Amino acid sequence: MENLISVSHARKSYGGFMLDIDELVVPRGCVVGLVGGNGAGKTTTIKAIMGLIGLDAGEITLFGRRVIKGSPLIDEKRRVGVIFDTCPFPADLEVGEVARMGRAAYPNWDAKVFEDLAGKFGLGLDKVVKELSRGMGMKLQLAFALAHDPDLLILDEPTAGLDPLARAELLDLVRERMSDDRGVLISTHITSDLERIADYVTCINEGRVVFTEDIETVCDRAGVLRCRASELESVLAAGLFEPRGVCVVVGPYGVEALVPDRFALKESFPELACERATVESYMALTLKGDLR
Amino acid sequence: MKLMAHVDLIVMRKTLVQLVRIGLVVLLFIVLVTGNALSGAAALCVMVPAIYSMSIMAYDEINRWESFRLCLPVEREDVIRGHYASTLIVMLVSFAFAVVIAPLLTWLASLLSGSSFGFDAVGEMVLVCAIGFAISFWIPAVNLPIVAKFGVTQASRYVPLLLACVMAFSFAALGQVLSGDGLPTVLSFLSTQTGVVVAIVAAVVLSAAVYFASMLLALKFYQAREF
Repeated sequence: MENLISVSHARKSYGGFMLDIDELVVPRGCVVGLVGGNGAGKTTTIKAIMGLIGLDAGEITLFGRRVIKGSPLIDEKRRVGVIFDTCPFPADLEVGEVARMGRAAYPNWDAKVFEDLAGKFGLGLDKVVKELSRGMGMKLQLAFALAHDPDLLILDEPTAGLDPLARAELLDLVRERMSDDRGVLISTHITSDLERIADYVTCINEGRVVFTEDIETVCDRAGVLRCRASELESVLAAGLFEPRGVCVVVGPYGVEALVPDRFALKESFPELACERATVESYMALTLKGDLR
Repeated sequence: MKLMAHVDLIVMRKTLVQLVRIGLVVLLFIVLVTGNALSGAAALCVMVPAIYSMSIMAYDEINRWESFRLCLPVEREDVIRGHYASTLIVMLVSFAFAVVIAPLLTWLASLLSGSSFGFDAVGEMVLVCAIGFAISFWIPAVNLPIVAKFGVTQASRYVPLLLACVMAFSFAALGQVLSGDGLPTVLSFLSTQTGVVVAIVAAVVLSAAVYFASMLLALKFYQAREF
């Protein structure tokens, strides 16, 4: 089945930064989370997908059509809703004027959907953008992004700075409107958001994809083992996992290891405590750990 | 283009209202001081579009609005054409507004001061505003391609000031040349009513041509820009 987004061998060098994404896809029907530290390349990747920057090499397709910097992609962009980490609408605009812009930009703009969402979020049409709190600004973006019924949502840090209730509300709305034909690419620092809505997680570090895993692999099968160094050596010697399949961080009081299958470990070493990994611990141990 | 020009005007609606208010105060002040609305009307024709064109580009760079707008279903060319079109609309409206409002303010000033201010002839007012209209093309024509290429940088903010100085010196130099013995034929032609009209129409046409050429350059720059 055609991917909504497909990034293949994309290279882009800036002053001191190199984006080098071998593969990143957003399949239909899936929510793909993009995680990584500050400056890892998440926003640059999104910019490349939207044609805001050009690539030095490689290819990106959006709904199967190749993205080239500055190429119009009008039909494709009509099917995309974008949310940035800050409310981008000019400060003096009223919410009603934002809706007017949406109506002018999207042929399938549904004023009722926008007004319903705005009402649900407590956004009066006469409210001015500069008077909105950060959370309200993000909700305005969400209402704008959803009012034209997009097939693909691209969210760049949509929950940054939101309180837990607002975050949950936003993520629920995103999840609710998923279907087999639609997809979401969400970049975030708040990894718990991904545990809530993502099907796949891709971690980027220093411009490169470190891993892409489905959420069950990360948050169900994988485990974090905390034990003494000698116990870890026994685990590794048992041959339960592939060579270089365990990420290990040595601490002052013991070791912390990311194991790919906590159930297999539990079966062979029931006395060792191995808890479920989270996206955060999976990412942290993968990035910081040594492969054993 | 129509969409982006529409969006620009929506974005700038409040700023434009403020600009018009400031312009009216400046115009009234000039009328009160000089007893004549001509220079104030011409200033209104130049000031409003110049500030509009600088503000619309400045708005672009706040909170990544520029990048967000390019995620809407629009072409990059539409953004630039929209800026030029909306600036042209503002120029035309400023021109019409100045022609209408200047005589009214002259009359109002005469009431306020109790002095006798004469109405300027409408024809004269239109011609002076047309000169302002011609000049109003130049600041966006120079500024928009620079901002399209580099964004609103510190250096680009000084360009309009520099341009205003260059224009002032150019007019002064032109005055020196025309007041000399060198161009008697031109001078005699310009001193006729037809000559003045022809000169102003030529100035407007030339300025519009420069504005169009500037748009082509800005389109090229913006197409290559990275955000």
